[in-house]
Amino acid sequence: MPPRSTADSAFVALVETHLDSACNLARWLVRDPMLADDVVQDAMLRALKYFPGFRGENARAWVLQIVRNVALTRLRNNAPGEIADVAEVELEAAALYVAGDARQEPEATLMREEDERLVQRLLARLPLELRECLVLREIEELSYKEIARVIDVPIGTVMSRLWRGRKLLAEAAGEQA
Amino acid sequence: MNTLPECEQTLLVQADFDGELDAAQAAALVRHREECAECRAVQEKLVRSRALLRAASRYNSSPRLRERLGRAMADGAQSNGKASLGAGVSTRTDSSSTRWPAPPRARRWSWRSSAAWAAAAAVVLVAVVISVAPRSSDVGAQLVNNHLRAMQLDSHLIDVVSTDHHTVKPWFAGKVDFAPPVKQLDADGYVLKGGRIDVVEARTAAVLVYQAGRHTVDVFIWPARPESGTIFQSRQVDGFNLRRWEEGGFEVWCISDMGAAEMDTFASRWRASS
Repeated sequence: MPPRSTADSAFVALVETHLDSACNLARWLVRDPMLADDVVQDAMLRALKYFPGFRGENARAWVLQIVRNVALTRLRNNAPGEIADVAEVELEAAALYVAGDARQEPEATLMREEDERLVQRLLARLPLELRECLVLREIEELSYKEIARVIDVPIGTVMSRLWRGRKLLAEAAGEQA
Repeated sequence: MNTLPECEQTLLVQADFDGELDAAQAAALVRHREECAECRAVQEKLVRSRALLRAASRYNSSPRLRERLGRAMADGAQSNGKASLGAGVSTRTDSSSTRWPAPPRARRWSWRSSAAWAAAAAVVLVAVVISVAPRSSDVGAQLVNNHLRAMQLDSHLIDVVSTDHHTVKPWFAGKVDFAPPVKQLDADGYVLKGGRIDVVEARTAAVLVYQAGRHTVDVFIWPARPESGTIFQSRQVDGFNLRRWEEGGFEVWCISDMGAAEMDTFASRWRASS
């Protein structure tokens, strides 16, 4: 029976701390709840494997980075259409609210529940590249630097994606109000 | 759709909104925003999108996933040739138990129940309170104490519940012997939730409570003593960020568990508002 290493308990602590963040990101990326659970499980196993090489800086960004990589791999295999290249994303983003169902709802209420359903729908329709930035910033409250690490792009790209996502969302919601 | 051409400062306005600018950059931008209609429109969109997004659900882990994960990790750890994560996981706060015996079939690694999580959180909170208690002569530590206590006793967080400063301000009359500035910052994304009375260093303080996303900010206000010198002070106590300044004859302290940059943004917005 090998002695229990401190690495094990450190890993358990790390998973306990960041599991909810991992689930939230996975769910927003792949949307399907069952698939999201699979992604989290795979990601945690992968994290366990890589944990000895983890240097202990910003554990949450590290975990979320793994979750994202697993999620994207799954999406590529399951639904290749979800991962568009950048040009397609731009097009899709531009077309999003022109054809969007946002304005088909005649009267929007300011009820919280309504808001929640609305934002679920609007956010789900955003291209993945924009959606993940918004989720990481506004729901997980990561800094630009952390987001840049998770999605592996320069901070400037994080900033412009965030703005594009927010603008689309605010304008879409505004059209309903 | 927005037909205005976007100002080149758009991403800076956004960075300010996200608390990513330092105080000097943020101050320069306040002036620009006053003059630039496009940037005011940008600010409105930022506020609107944040309000929407923060109404969105955060999907947390389900007990089913936790259980599944526990099993998978036990197996994964074994196949990695390491000791599996044992049932003793819930006792990891006890240093004597860092060497857990391997569980019989190494498949019993269950995650803590939510009740146990709550208990652990309570322990942490108590630990924080205890660790700040001996320094009670220090204003910052006292504020952390008061803030924590108010958050724990949910009903004491706010004595007067109102998002309208015309309601909150008169409420203080007769309860404190000064008229604290009560500011509404909805345009900046901070929602006034109400106010309460608190005692800091044997002085009565008016406290304004704001909601900033998922964070609660307490703003403590009391008349400044004539000789209290420092203008702006920035501190961190036990993970809480505090900002202190004087304005209009008052000493103002704000405290929250927000990040340092976001706290600076809040403080600068509060000071800039009238």
